[in-house]
Amino acid sequence: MNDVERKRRFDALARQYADDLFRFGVWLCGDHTLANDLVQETFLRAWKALDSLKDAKAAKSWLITILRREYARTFERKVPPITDIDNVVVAEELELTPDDRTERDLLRKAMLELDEKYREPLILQTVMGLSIAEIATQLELTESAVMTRAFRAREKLKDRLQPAAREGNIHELT
Amino acid sequence: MNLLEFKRQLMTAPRERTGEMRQARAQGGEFALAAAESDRFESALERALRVPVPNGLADSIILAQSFREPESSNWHWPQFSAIAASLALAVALVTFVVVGRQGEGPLDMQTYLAGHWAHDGPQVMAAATTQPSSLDRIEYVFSELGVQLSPELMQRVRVSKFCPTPDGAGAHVVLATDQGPVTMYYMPRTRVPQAPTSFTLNGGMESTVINLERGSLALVAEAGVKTLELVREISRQLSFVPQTTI
Repeated sequence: MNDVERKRRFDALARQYADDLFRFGVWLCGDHTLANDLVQETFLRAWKALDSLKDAKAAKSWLITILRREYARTFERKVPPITDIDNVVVAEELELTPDDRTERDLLRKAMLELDEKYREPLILQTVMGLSIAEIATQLELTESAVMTRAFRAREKLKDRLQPAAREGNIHELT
Repeated sequence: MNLLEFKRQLMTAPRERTGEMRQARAQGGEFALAAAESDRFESALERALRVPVPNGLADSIILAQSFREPESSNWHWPQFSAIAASLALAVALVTFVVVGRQGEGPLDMQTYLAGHWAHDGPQVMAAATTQPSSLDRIEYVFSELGVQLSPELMQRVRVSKFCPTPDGAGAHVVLATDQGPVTMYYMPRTRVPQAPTSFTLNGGMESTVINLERGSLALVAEAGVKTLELVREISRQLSFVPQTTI
């Protein structure tokens, strides 16, 4: 691969995956600033190892693997951040209705309170769009274990929303 | 695929639409309801997880890489300055919009009703036929809000659930009436400055709001329904108990 092709490939990866990786990072570590660092570091490592990416279809999983490893390394160096919703969201568009915003904020809080073993499969599925099989490979789990965790994650989130509905903060599910 | 398996699949991998899942969705009834609820939850979840990304994130990654690898770089300082200026402008605009919107006052009743109806009005109306609330559930919702319904009114309630109001929890109800099904919102802590008051909502739905001894009551119905008469009739069948738990 010559320099021009390399750069073109790198730019395409950054444009296609940077935003989703950032969101994945935010929900993985619960911190906006750290997520930004993780994504920057992920692409730095991706640049260095770009020649090892043979199959373009595997790019997303490859980048996720790099980011997860970098995250694990970060935790070797840093105290885990406090997961506060204010660390996750710094500025946001306001096109939602007040009710939808309340529901969104409650879900975000509930997500941060989810145990990581439930949260990670759910964000890989919802934010990164991975299938159960791809998540199983990524997390080195059986597909059955991933399905159980995805189920429990949703169950826990829905359980957390019920009291909020009762208190009138969001709409109760029919 | 049976209903239980379908619901399990919706909780596990709702996006993976196999042939069996598509068939189950198309069956209607309980399957369609479960699918609709799952779709709504997944939309809310996606919305919640879609946190804002720093402006120009991909550009900044590409730019940083270009500076780290000067031999393959096509970037020059004037271009960098232009991007930096664009980013600064974008950040300033976002800040302006966010800060500018924070000073707005509470929602007016028409906006609240329009938003509430648009949020789930037709879906809750549909649930009145497919998934009616039990009498226990209806009693529970109203007792939590400190309200008793006359036996006659109780028989008319098809769906009753908690919902947000401008001032805390309220009830979202579907009633069967002589003029057809109508939606009622009970807002125990909200009063309208001028009552009764009527609005036309998006889609031509008519609504009327009246104040009660405690809070207010809104009715939303198809055009042609005599909402003012109806909401007054309903209000006469409500009584209030001293204590509320919400």
